[in-house]
Amino acid sequence: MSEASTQRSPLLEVNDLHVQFGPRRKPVRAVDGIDIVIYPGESVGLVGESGCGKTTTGRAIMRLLDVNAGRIQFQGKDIAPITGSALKDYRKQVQMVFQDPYGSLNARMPVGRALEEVMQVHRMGTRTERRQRAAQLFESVGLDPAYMDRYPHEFSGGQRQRIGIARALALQPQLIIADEPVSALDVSVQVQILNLLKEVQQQEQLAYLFIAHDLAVVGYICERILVMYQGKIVEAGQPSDLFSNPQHPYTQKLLDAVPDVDQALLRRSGASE
Amino acid sequence: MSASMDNLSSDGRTLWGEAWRRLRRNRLAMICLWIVGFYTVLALYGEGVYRWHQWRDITPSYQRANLDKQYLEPSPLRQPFAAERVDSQTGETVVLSGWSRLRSGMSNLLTHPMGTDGLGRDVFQRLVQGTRIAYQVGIITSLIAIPIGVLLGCLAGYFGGRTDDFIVWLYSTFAAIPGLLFILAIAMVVGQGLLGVYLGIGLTMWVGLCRLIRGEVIKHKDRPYVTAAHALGVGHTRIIFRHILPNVFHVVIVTFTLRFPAAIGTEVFLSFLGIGVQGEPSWGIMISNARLRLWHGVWWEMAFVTAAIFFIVLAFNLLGDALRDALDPRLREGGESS
Repeated sequence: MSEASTQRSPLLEVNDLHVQFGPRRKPVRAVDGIDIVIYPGESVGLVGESGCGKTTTGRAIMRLLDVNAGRIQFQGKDIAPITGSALKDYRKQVQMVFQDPYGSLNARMPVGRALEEVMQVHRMGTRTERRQRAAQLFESVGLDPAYMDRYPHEFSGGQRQRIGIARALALQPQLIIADEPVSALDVSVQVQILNLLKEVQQQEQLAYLFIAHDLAVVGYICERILVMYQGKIVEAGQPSDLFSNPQHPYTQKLLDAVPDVDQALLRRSGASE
Repeated sequence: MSASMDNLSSDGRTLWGEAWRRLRRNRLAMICLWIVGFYTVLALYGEGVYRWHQWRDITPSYQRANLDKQYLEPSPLRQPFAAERVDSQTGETVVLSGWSRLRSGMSNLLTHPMGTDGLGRDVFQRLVQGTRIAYQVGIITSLIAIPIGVLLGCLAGYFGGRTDDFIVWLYSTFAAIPGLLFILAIAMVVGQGLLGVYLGIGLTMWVGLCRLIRGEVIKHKDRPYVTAAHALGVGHTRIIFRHILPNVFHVVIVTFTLRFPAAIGTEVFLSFLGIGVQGEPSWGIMISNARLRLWHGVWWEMAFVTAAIFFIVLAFNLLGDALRDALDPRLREGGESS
């Protein structure tokens, strides 16, 4: 996979990205010089503990935050300084799925309307075409279009996250930044949503930047994992390599933190005998 | 996958629908709503009477002096069902009985049910016209104040920075002017009468609303749904008016309900002082007139007008409180993560 992908030009290339908060004299370096490369159709995981800067990275790439230094190149164009309609065009190509399925939908807007609005803002199709496309999107994420006129509070967390995914897909983006898309959901629903993400990736030839704190989740969906620690990327590799042979002590710690049910059971049965 | 749709709440309800359901459960609020509805009907009736007289180009009876009927008591106190009646034309005493007695009694009850004032004008008709004026003032001042308050509040809260500084400075300045002096100053400029009342109250009333909206917008602008809208490429105007405003609109409704009686109160006060409504029967003018003869036992004009003011202010205030409870998202069942 990585052999093939190096021959293509990267979709997203982040070089030496810095994002700082707080006073200029003594800033908090939330993101402290990281590099990320994502090829078309590839899913890259970004893991780390809370506060390590992974969400900030995602938001900076989405241009929801100001970048202090570094370059973010999308299809070879630097998007760090763009504004106005260029930024709007960029956001058509790159979309985001949010962590909080409860808060990320407008409580006063019917969910179908939310999908139509995205297309309306980007001037796609006529009113009826947008409506039809919204219904298609609803079906593609496993929801019944009959519920398009319902409000978000009438849906469960998993259903709302499906709506969030449908909304991100509405513009047919090339890259989706998924910021902890399953961490607010029940474990049983998590797998469904992960499978849905995998499914739509194959259909739409999407690339993912998958941000999570849970290594198991990232390992399930990603072909390449970046481990982030205190604003820096400390280790990168394929899931199998990373899991079997972690190089950085922090990766080791993260792996230890994953509850390994099989091993625990083994140990317990050994002790009892 | 579609099987997972089963746990949807059984019927589609909007958040407004749920708020209405909660309001319905509050008995006091429903009583207040009925009272407000009653006043509204009264005001509409008054408007109809006013328009009809204007259209026919005649002076309505509630404006015409009729010195024969000065200080008539409210009809139930005038022994409407008396068996004897003095014929107004011949001056003879007529004895009534049975059906005709009942009929004349009923018609007596309906003429001047609340008595007449010092110029022989019907208190009830004037009260109705006062209701009309009060509603006019409440509605028009809201139409002036709400757009200003909402617009400036949204801009200040959403954009922050310099915009916010300027708008906060603006409303602080307005809030620092003593309200009555400000209204007096406006009355000086545009002249006495309803226009001065509208502008004076309207241009002071937006301050409270603006401050509340600004606070709510600040609370909402970093909520995930607004961030999501940004990420989707939605523009500022649309985010403010389509996303944030519907989520803070309950503030407007509650403020409107609480400011409406306040505006009415101010109008009554201004009219009482003689700088408000001119030449029309406002409640304030009625109180001002009624106080002259109050100590001679002419209590009815004062009593009915103050009762009318009391009930409308009480009903609106209680309704406003109930609306705040019903619309407050923090009390919403199911809970919102915030």
